[in-house]
Amino acid sequence: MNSVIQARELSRWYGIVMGLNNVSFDIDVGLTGLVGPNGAGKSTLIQIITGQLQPSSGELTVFGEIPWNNPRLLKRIGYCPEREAVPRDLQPLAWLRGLGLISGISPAEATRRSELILERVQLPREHWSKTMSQYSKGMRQRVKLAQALLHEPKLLVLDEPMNGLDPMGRQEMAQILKELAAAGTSILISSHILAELESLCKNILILNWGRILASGDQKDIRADLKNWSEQLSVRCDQPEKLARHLFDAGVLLGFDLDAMEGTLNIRVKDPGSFYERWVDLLIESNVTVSEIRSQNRSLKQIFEKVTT
Amino acid sequence: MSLTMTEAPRSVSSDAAASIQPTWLGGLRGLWSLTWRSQLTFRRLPLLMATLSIIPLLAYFTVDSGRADPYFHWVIEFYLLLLLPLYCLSVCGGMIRDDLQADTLGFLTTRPMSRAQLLVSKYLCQVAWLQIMALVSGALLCGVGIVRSISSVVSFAPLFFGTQCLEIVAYGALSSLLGLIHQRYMVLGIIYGFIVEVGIGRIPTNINNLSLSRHLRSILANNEAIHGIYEWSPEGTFSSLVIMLIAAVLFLGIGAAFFTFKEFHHSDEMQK
Repeated sequence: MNSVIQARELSRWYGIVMGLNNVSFDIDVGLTGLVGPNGAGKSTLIQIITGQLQPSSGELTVFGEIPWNNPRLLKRIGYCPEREAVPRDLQPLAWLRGLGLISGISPAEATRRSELILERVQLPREHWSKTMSQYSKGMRQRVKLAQALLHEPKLLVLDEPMNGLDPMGRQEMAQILKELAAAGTSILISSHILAELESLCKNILILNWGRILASGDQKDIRADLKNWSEQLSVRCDQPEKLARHLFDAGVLLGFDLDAMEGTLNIRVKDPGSFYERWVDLLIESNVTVSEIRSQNRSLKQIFEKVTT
Repeated sequence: MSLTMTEAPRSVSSDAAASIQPTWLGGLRGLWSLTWRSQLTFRRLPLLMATLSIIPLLAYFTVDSGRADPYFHWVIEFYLLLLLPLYCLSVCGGMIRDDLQADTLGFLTTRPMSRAQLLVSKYLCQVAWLQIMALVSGALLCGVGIVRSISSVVSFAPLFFGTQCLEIVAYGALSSLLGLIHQRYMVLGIIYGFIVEVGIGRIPTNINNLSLSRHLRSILANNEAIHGIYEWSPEGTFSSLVIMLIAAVLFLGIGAAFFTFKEFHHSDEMQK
């Protein structure tokens, strides 16, 4: 079995509010991104995966086992919650050591591992003796990640771990996650910071309104969305003339003209058929084109498309 | 739309965590370490000192030398039968709710221990902490008795500490159950106190066996000084001991079952 997480017709509702609506998916080993706007069902899904919530109907298994009240499975899962709450009056080492003991690590080993993990998440040593109430949001994120890594889980579930980190911190966090994934840890990471997910995760799962809108390899998703409108930027000697010609040909959704720059930004209705006619249309327009740029469809654009 | 993931499958069978073996004792050690460190902080220290010293100080300033009656009223009625149950309610009632409100419960429920084990271990840690606090407070109270020349304090002390220990075990278990049942466990506990402890406990039939304080009175009556002041009967002391322990196990068992099946959400907690 290659799937780390399997969901079959999984639903979860809170009273009359639907958190997850009959979703089925497989998540394989490796780094997987979970994307969705607020209220999409990301945290609900993560809480079911980590055994904090139970499904209302359907089934979700992690490594083939149901997570709720399952210590044997929880031993293999590390969880970093979205909220920045940590025990404010504790020092990070004391907290990690306590959690390590609960996880089944011996006292001496728990102390050793706590120090190693804090170094790994790059929490400066001079802050170790402070209570966590004095920590910045970014420092708390690092400690939260540390507690998730403490028992060397096979599956790491991170709910918005980049929140509160500065750009350097995000880069460092991304590097840590890449190293963990390379070492064989499967990672499920949810985020609103789509640029990080795009560079970090090969696979993504897009949720909205409790449903899965798309899942799989980023490239496949992009390919699957080939019929979506696309934006092109064309620099030419007569942008007005080109705009009129393309508009008359019925291939545009809209356009913006920058006469000073000599640039025409066009939004194309059907990229597939447009590109088939594109060269002929340019020849017919009788304008001289100096540059054509296709605005790359980023994950963010895809996300915005499927969630609106 | 749904697409198949294309990443080459890798084995998930190798398990680095296999060397980690969670045990009851390890879990208990970890939770105890977190419990005392959370309680013994600079922020909580003033409250802790006040809690420990307020009753001995009040007793010291209000009891005249050699007068046993007012001293024992302080110790029995105010401390043992009112303040200590409330203290248990505050500490054990909040053992899950406090984490829930602080939104830190997820760090514990995602650890490799069953939910029942987590609840029982948390209860044991909170009770251990309460025992330490009550031991210090009780010692100060006994010290006040000695300073105020209450002759029967020395003979009363062993029974006092034993009863206090049993009381914390039983009321702690009840409080932990109330804390799981409702966010407003203090209100629930006070209502319980009025109905069961004050009301039913004073009905002179067998129904008063439902009251924990009735059993405490029965145990305390084994001391001659107490028996003389309150005219409580020491009859059925052994039954009272057994009932207190059974009640603790029962409350804890119900609480563990409740925690095993019921989800606790931070968002629910904040909306109430």
